[in-house]
Amino acid sequence: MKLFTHNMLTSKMIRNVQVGYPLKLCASEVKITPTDFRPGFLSKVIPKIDWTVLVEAVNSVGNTEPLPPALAEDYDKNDDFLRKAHHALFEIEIEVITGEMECPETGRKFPIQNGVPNMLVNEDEV
Amino acid sequence: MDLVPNLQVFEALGGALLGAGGRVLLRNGGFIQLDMELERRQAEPVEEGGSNKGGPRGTKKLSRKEHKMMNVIAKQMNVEISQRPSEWAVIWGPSLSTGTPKRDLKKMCDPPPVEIRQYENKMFSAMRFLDPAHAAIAKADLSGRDFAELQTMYVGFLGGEPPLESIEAASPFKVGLPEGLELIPEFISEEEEENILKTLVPEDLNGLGQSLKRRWVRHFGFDFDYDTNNVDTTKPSAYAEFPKCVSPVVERLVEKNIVRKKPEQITLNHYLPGQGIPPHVDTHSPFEEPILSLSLKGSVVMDFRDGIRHSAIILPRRSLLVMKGESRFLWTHGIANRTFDVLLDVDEGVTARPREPRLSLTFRLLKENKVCNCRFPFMCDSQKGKITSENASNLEDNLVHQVYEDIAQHFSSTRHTPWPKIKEFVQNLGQSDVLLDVGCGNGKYLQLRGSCCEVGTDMSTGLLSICRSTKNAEVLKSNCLMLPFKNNTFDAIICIAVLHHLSTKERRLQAVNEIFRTLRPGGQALIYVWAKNQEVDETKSVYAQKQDVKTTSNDLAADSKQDILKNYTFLPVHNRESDFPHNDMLVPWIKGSTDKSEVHHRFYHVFNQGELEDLILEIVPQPSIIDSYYDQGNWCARFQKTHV
Repeated sequence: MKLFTHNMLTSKMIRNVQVGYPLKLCASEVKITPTDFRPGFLSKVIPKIDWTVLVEAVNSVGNTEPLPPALAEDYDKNDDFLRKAHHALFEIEIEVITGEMECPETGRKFPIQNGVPNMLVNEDEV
Repeated sequence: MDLVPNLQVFEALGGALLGAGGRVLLRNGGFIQLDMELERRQAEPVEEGGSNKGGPRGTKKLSRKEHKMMNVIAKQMNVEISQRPSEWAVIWGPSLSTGTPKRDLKKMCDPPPVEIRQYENKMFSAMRFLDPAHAAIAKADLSGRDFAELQTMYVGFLGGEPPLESIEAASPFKVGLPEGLELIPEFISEEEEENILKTLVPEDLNGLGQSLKRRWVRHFGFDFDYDTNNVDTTKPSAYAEFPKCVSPVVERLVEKNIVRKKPEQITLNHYLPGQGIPPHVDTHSPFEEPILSLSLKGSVVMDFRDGIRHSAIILPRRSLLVMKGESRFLWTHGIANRTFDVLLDVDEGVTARPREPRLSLTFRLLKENKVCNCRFPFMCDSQKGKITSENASNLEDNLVHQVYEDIAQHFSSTRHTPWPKIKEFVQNLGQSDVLLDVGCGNGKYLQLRGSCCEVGTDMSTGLLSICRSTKNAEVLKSNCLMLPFKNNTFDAIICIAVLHHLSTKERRLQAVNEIFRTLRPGGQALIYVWAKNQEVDETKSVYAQKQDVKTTSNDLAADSKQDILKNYTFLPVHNRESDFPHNDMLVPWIKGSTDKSEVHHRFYHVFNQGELEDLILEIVPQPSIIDSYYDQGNWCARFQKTHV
């Protein structure tokens, strides 16, 4: 699972959960795969991202350079910033053997195995 | 089960003999139905033997071909071929396999043969002439001539008597007519028949009534709905009144105590040669017994089946078929789509009988309480199980999710080529457009545009790990009823061949709502679902084409999950040789090679035309449908979440 995906995930489908976002990330194994850096593409993707959530996710993954806490005003012209964002969004691949994501309200855990989060909830949980 | 044949029927037919495999013999100039499923078989290849130089036509090629065919015949008949004329000749070509009636064959010879013998699945006929010289004349006249397109006749002489025609299967009463079936010949007079035909059958059938794929129908009283196999009693048909010409028939039905009240519904079917009706049991709850069928204009053979039991009956013109008891509630009845029936005529023996145009009137009596208490609960819509909001989730677990886990590897190996229109939709997206593939399967629509802004979801762990191992695609496990994503997230969503695995309308709507919820305003979704109709504009879908390849078994018995399937006996299993007759059904998946294959049954709700659009338009606030079309046996719709 990439942090880009984590940025969209919620546990809102669980009964009585109001927001269910962001999911608390706990990673025990992280794989970093270099991919092409395309600044023009990234400056279009960044507005779709919840930056604070991404910053927190990068911190929880550890093992990597922290992101600037806030979006730089001229981020689309800031190559260094875009590189960091690219790294966080698309190069960080989290593979958890015994890790998980956690619903911020109920504590319900979603395991990640071999890079695939299991976001399935039972019908009696909804 | 009680198999006592209905004596009334035999008397009515002038004493009929029944046998296994649907053989029927009528003594008074009638016929025996021999086999519904004749395969046109090609000759076995034979090795080149000593050639018969200088045949009657003199050409070397003809003589060689003829020699070959005669070898084939000799082998199959176990009778030697004679080089010298004998009273028995054999002809390659006109036969039961080609549907050539004996009388037509007789006419081709002058002087004619005195006896003809024909055999099931064989491409030849044996002819006995009064004199060997007559046989020689026939050979000289016919050998090398074409009798049909690309079909050449060859004639030879037999060194002995050919085998008798096989009527051993017609030995009586092995499988009788279904209990409760009765045929009343000459139920209407010739004048009445003529009157009905004159009134009800226009010369041009186009634009009148309802044109089904294989026949033309019209309803009186109430319309029969082929999607639900039911009638809506609140809505009388456009032809609410029965036509006058039918009145004497209706009155006679009551007078003769065949029915306890006047039928309220009539279906008129018009069949051309080659047209038939798929095997079916009339839905139990809306109609009383009996179901009545009056035949006009042409005779036809009707098949009755119950599991492996097969019976058949000839419906002569002007006869009335009365289906009660088992024949009404348990056995399916149907008419094969073919241009001729193979019958055993008492005078002619086994012979083909070309079909003629036929009109039938089906009379049905509406059931007031719409509840059936028959003895066959597994065939009965009143008594059998139903899909409910309570069992739907379990059903999908057992008949969809578990099956995909079981067949993941094999399924994936058959799903590699993206369909062009879906590929086009995906490739038209911008690089930074975020795409969600709901029910991504083996990920064949992921990574089609070189962008990492996409994610796939599926229920099958097996398929998800194939996505990871083959293309390292970004995927997660979730149910389409509860997508784990924030609102207004995706620029585009595709959901291909997923919704038809959801077993209730509420759940299908919920899935569409989830797609809508996670779509951003202005974003578009593309949905594909399996169509009930697998043939639109005369183009067969890939699935329908594959049906031509016969599967080893469609029988539920072949599925290893008997204990699970027994809870779902109310779901019909789709027979690959026919259209989808129902919306909710089990479709067999044959895994593995023919000698070691396994059968798995998946649940499908196949969609009617317009059903997908209706579902989408139930979303609040209503999205706008940009495009909807039929593609490869699927109904497809593309809609946009409009800006608020």
